[in-house]
Amino acid sequence: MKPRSNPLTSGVGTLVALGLALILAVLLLAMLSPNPAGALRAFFWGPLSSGLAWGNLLNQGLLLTLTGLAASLAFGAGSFNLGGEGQTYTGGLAALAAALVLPVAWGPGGTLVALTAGIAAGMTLGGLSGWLKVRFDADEMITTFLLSASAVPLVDAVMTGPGIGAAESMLIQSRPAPEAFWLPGLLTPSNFHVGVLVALPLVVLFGILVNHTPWGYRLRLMGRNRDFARYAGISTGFYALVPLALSGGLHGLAGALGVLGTQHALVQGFSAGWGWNGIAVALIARTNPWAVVPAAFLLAFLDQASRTVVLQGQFPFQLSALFQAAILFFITARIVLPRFGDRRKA
Amino acid sequence: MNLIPFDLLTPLLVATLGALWSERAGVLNIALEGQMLAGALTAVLTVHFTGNLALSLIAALAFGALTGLLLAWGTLDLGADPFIAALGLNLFLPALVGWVSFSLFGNLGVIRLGAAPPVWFGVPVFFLVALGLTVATQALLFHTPWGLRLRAAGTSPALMASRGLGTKGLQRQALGLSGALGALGGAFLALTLGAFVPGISAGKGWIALVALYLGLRRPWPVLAACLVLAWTEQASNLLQSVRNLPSGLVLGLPSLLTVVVFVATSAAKKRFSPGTGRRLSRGRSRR
Repeated sequence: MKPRSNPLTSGVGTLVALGLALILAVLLLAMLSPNPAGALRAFFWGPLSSGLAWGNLLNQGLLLTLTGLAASLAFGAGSFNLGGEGQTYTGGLAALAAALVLPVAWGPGGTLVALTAGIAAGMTLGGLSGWLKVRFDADEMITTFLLSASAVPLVDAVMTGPGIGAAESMLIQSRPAPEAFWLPGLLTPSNFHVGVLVALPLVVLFGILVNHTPWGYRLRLMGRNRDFARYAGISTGFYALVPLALSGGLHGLAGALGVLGTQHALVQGFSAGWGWNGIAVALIARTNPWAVVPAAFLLAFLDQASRTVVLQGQFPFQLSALFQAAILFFITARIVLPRFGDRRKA
Repeated sequence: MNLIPFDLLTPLLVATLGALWSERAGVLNIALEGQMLAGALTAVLTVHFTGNLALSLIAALAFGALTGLLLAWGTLDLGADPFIAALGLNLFLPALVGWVSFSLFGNLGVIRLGAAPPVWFGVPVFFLVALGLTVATQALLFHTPWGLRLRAAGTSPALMASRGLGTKGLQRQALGLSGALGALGGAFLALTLGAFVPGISAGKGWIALVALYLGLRRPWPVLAACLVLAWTEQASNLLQSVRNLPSGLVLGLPSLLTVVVFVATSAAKKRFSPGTGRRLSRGRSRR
């Protein structure tokens, strides 16, 4: 991504992309819903209407903070991690496998080990793309995506395989993790739990690391201009690999938290969309870790809102896919004042 | 077991030709997966309502071209990242397809057609069309001034600029053509099956990118690569039914194969162009 010289116009561009997505959604609701007023009310009020709704909103906002932080870290260093879906899912599998193997007597210690396993799995997947980039000059945008796309069906296969698959269940899912390793729930029966709160200190940690340390300075320099970073004597290999590995690790953590805190088992497709939404968050936050939190909660709100509308039968299909699509399509565009931007000659 | 699995080969070949046009113009179209799905529904709906096969192919081509031009508008005019914008399109098209099939038929499920696609002396006519498109791609891309300029837009935009020629118009044409061919591939897929099934493209739009790189980005080798991949798919279908292999392995294999091929081509490119250390042909806005 090309660094923008004027932060004000780039911020406006982001708002325009979000505004376009929102207008699209409201128009669709108004035109296609059998009951436009009810649909709009469900859309804007639904996510805030009860303790259960609040719990789900907080849970999703914090999970998106994690995956958004993950995507943003890689963006900041000029690497695109498009493999968040697979990294999250694999992290969930690793955490569950650890929870099934560890002795129940370990209690919270076992939870920590299982979370670490999730981080390690995501880190391996992300780091592999980084290594392929450094070693073979294989574009990480493509390898992260494809490795993730091949990991998802593999996790699906393992989930129902011997030793892990649930014998009797309506859903396609694994055996449940032992209750001793579950993260305590908050605002039950919502999806919220204590585990996702870890997102906030992590934002502070990476916010300081990226914005206020020499390490972060070199990382940002990589993102701005890789050739200059090399000229300045920065180890471009290290700064191409480590952000991708960290990004994968944070995705893996999100997956592990989903398994140990909410699902308590590995359910097919439980983390679907977390990776893509994380990318949308990072594109909105523009690689600034501090901006990740509001961006994540905004997207979480939109997602919960569209779920409410669909659940209440006000709309026939998932709006949130349309949101992601519109945001991805417009967010890297130079919409604002294209005539005065650096348009290439046609 | 067919010697030439036409039904698997034809859609893949057409989609790969679509990928080829965009890649040669320097704007690799990765929205093919979504465009195939959209083309499949467009064709099936047209046949369902008009019963006209030729019209259904034209409708798929037109809708595909429209999505390609939408992508071109986003990337060339608004300056969006081609990869990210195409991913947006890949999310948007299945949502649109799901909505259209839901509102017309009240479900997200299967739409069946009665008619079988035409066959000419044992060879499906669709395959002959695909073969014709391969010949046309070779002829247009490598033996006309327009094709030369289009390839130059991909490899050396600076040269084009020095000659006072723009690349934007050519890339727009390539993306439109690419989308049209992707949708046509999807139409062939659905019409051969005689039905629209949700997720009918099943990764074929991504496998087309494998075939593109395996086929050295040239029409005839691409045909050979598609044939090899069609055999692989036929073999894996057989394997799945005979030996009861986990389906996840079979489903994950195409992407895994793409990574391997992609890394190998990247490594080869790095070896053969020392000193550059990065790809030259991408008209991306980053870096």
